[in-house]
Amino acid sequence: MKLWDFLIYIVLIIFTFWTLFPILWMIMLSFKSPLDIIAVPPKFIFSPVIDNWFVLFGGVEANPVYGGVQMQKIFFTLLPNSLISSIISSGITVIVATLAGYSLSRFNFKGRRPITFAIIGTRMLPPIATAIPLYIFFSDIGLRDTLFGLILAYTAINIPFAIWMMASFIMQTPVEIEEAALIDGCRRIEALVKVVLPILKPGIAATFIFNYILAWNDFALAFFLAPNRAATMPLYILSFVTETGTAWGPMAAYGVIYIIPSIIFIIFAQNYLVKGFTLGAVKG
Amino acid sequence: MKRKLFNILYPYLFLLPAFIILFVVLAYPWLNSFYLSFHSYRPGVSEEINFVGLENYYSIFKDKLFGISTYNTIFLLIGEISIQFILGLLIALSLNSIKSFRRFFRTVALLPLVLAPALSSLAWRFLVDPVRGFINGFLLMLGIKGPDWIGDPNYALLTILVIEVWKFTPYVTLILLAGLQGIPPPLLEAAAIDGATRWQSFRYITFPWLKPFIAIALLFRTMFVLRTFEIIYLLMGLGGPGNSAMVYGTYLVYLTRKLWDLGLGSAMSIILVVITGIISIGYFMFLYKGGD
Repeated sequence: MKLWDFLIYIVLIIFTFWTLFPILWMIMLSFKSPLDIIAVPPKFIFSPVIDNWFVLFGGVEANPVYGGVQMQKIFFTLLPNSLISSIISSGITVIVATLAGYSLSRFNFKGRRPITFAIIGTRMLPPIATAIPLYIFFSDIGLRDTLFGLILAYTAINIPFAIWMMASFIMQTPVEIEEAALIDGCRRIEALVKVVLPILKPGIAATFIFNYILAWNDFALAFFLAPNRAATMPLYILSFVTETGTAWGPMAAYGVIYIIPSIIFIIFAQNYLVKGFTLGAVKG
Repeated sequence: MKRKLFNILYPYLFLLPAFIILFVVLAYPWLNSFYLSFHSYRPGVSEEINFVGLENYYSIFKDKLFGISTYNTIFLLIGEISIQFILGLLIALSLNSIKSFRRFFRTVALLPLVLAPALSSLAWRFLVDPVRGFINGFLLMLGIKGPDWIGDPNYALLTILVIEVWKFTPYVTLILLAGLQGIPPPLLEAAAIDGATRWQSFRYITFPWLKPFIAIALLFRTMFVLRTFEIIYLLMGLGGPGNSAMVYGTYLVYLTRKLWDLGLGSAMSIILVVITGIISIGYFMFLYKGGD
């Protein structure tokens, strides 16, 4: 019995090490001097320097060895674009999905089943495949490389899953309170806003955070729809790879900046994230 | 009377905003692409849109690169799904049986899953780079000259497989863990009282219970393997060394970005969706027919 427990912890510790190592290594690199970065054997103990961060924050003139994007670009274009597109699209998504989810889970109406299936079906569209039609469409109507276009794209891509999430959360809330409110003469929309929404807060938070992560992580859509002015963080990862060499340290530091929101959500909103990931399995 | 009509309309009104957005931003562009997939359309070269019938589909199916993409996608599918299933199940069972630190290990499992694919690619670049990467540096310390994980056609796809296993095994773990936590304790207690061994209670209670969860996890993994793109693109460019890591996702980008043919690109988008659809429907049928 004891041996069994011991083995289980060994498995989990190996898993932990394997999972964390790539991230920890990147964080370590971002604090290494250029010499330590190329050291063989790889160095675990080193004296940390902030040079790489200094480069990102614009402290060093464009140095051929460092290359890469400069502070201005990161802090005035890429980071704001990533934040704005993720936050606004998630906000719109949650509102639209709450309404639709409410409809699908509380009303029995003609066409409910086909609509539900259509929504689940849309989820199967691979974003990389959707990127091409959207690229053509946005080019035609002049929405390409605009934040508005990017926000629309994220909203549309995320709505189906968000509806699914919200519908399942609403189904879990008791219908009686609402009915009481309706009998008291509340209109539907009032019942939704005043009675259902307060109970739904955790579900709304879960949906928002999950959609935020999906938008924040997106590369495929931004790659096609937002090449320059509306570019987001992940698009500039490769800009550290230049003909004269790769700026390893600053590249790692850039990765660390990009990772921060994900880490924050994992620490503070873990249960919400787990809900999002396991939803399809636990509740259909 | 007015109130009654309203009650009929209500559910549709609530659905309207979602419907409008989905129609304008998804359905219309897709229909447009479906139309273009039968045309030749190269906006940079000429603005003409010429009807070519099935020419685009024909030339994709004839293309050697499409064959390579198919082969590599199947390789990734089989490799990922089998490895992720075994490891995911192992870790989920371990997590389910411990009493302390469960939350800590679950946090760990969430990490690669929540990270952007682009970031996974970046973090792994620091490990698999042939000259400065950790792995080859470590091997060199042992006196072994490591291979070029990124640039050698023999290793490129394998490297991608390892990164994908790293990133997505936790997904299978989370789903299966959710399943395991739903097993009613009396079921297992009864088995224990009847003297069932650990293997027997796994074989006859846990595993059958997990089946639908396994099916869902594998369905979603399959759908997501089919859209693999950024990890490959950011690590080794479109298709990897000598196209040895070309998959559907990168092939699609190759058609639009390299060949600059939006007709071809549209056709490939349609093909990818159809393939995803067929596999998903297959899964569903399996799930509802032979599931339990």
